[in-house]
Amino acid sequence: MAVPEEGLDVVLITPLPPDVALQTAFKTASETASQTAPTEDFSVPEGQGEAPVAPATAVPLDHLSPEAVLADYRLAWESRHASLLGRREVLTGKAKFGIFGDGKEVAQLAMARAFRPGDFRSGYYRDQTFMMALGALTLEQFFAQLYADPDEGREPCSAGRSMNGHFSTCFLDADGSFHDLTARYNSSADVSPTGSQMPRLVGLAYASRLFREVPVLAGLERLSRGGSEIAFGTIGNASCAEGMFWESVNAVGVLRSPMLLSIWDDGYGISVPNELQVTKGDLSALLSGFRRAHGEAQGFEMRTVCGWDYPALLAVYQEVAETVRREHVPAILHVVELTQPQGHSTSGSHERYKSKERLAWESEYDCLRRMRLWILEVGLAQPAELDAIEEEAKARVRQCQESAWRDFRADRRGEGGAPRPPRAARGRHGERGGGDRCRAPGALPAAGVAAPRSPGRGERRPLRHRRGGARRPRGTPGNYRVEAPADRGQPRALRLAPPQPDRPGGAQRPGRPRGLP
Amino acid sequence: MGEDLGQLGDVNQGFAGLQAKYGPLRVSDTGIREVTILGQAIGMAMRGLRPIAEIQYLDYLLYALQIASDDLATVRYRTKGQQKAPVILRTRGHRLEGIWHSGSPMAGILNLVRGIYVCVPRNMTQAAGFYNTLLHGDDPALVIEVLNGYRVKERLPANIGELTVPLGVPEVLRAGSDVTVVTYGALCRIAAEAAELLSQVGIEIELIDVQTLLPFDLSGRIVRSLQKTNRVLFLDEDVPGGATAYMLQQVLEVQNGFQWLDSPPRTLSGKAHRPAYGSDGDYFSKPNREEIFEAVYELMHESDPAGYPLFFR
Repeated sequence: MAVPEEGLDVVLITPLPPDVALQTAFKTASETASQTAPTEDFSVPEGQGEAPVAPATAVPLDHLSPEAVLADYRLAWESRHASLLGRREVLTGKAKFGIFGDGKEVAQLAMARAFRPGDFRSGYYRDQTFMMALGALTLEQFFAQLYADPDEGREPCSAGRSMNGHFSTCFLDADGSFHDLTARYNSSADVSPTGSQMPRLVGLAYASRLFREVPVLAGLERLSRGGSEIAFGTIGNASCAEGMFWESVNAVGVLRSPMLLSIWDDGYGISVPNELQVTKGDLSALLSGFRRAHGEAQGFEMRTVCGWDYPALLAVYQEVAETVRREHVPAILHVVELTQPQGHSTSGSHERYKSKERLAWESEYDCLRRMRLWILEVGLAQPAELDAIEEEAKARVRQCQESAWRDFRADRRGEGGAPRPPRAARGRHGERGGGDRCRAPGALPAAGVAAPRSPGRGERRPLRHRRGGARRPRGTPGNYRVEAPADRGQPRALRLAPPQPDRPGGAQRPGRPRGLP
Repeated sequence: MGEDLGQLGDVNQGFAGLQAKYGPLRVSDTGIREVTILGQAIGMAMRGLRPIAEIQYLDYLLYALQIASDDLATVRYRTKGQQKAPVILRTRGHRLEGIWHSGSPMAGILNLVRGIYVCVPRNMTQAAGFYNTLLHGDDPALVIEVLNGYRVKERLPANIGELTVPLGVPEVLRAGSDVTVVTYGALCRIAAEAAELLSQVGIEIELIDVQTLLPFDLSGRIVRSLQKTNRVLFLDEDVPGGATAYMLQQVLEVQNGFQWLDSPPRTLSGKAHRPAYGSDGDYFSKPNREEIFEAVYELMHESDPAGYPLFFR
């Protein structure tokens, strides 16, 4: 995947002038949303035809090449198929437990495009798409961790010590000295206890401030480039009920450090909805007191953005990351309307606690579905091309899974398994696409191999009912509903926080965004 | 960094003048947030800095114990050596006053932080040696200074900034041939006082300071003492079955010290309750000089009832 190292490719993608293309894209996304809202609980009120609000420094679409968008789409589908196949691997007995990042793919594509060499991540087990987008995780490595392969060449994140979905990159070389962290995409190693990624995130961010402001640290060029590194954090909405979340946010605010925190909000924590996790059921409302007012030194940049809205996500991550990096102002992105197509993990099925309406809404607003619709609307590709991408993604994931399983089993049987190249060749240092055997030319399925047709083309994806017979009653506390932001009478399409007024240089129409490399 | 550590220089003035010297970013005040005091240090250390994070009193370490156990203690393990976090987590304790300020929950701590060194220096000279050693190294450590030690004067070594104390090496504070007394921290001084009393009735204890609980006595120094005395008393301020049980298991089972015993192995610990604030409660909640005397004397009585009659019962 040719994801550019710096910034976005500058190529016109449509014959329309840039600002018209942008307006068309945003407007189309909004119209699509209002036309297909399925149920009364989540419908957009009639007559909401006004143009949605675009962020003040929106990335014009002509800065992102069609190839890059389709590469993102392919990666997102590979990640989704890795989740789907991974769950089947567990349920058919080849792995002990599985927890996956399905439903969060598109937002992580955007986050990855804002991540620069030298940056750090402190996240949790839904971040597989992000890691893959950076080239810091291959599909084979993903499955190797699912199988708990103890070989550190095949399972570089934890050598089989952590369960699947616990991502990490290599900071140290063989003698324990630091690599040049400024040239790599860095991720601190994940832990399972949710919320526990937050305290160390405080330090990962604060270190940038120290590198920038403490003179004696100036010469440590392998550790920092003038403190320009952002510490990206990720956390789920329900883990924001943990005390250490609030303590960490508060600490970062006091320390005025370059943290960019993304909250992946899919409305639930396993079976428990936001109403029981967070006062008012709304993290943006609760966090609003941390928001930085214009001209204030302390406080956070804060945005709310829909997790299925690819262009909006791209724009907001670019804009906010630039501010965080330059000014050492922390930021929180509340990414809402995410879904979890397979439920929390292999330990359960979300049909047991989600209403029919909720499941239908999740199907409709699945971020991959919405990205596909957007691609078609702006004319980046034809349906057949997207179908092919989806099928190829599925086939490739199956290939990589089989390869990982084969190597793991061969090693168990003492048959030598796959040769283990030295670390440098394996793409664990964060080079995009480095060392991934699955990416070798010719890895695509041979012509004539039938791949199952995946639902798409505007069709509603069938719900997966894993248990036959009568649906089990919803769990306590009874007939709850998750209130979508659209209930408040605004168009669902672009639920962004209003652009900050009177920002110097804030463009009202898309032009070349400042600061992008 | 820590609470009241920046401007004031910490509650015992250990950092007095250092913020003025090094600036508010290198010697800093934090809010009351133990979880993120430690978390901040972990993130900084992962990026190559060398933080010393202070928990104001040992008892407050409980706030941060989850992050210490789930995160800091597992950094090298869960990455198979690809990441490290050399945090020095500094605190002071054992005996301030009262229920939440006099704890020595050593077993509670050390059992949760396998993967972090636990240093229990008996005085400030040893503490300095540990700090120097740890700053040469690459691994996280908890250093628990003896709070009462701030009221005791010590001779200041000329090389206080250079001297190092190795980890996992106990020190024999007093030679003796009758009973090996194994302890650490604040009780070293109290046991030394008890040793004087015992000497007056003809009992000579060999007093050993373990110095670090993790790692513990890497070369089997305590067993060599046991070979000489054949009697052992494990002594600390933790609750019964706490770190005394840990030390006992290390010496008798892991190092096979059982075979040199002529008497039952004994532990003497604090009581199974939090120390009371009132002075009588404080005295009786933890081992005191008289109790140590009696425990050792009873061991000698068991081996020679006529030679050591129980005159205090």
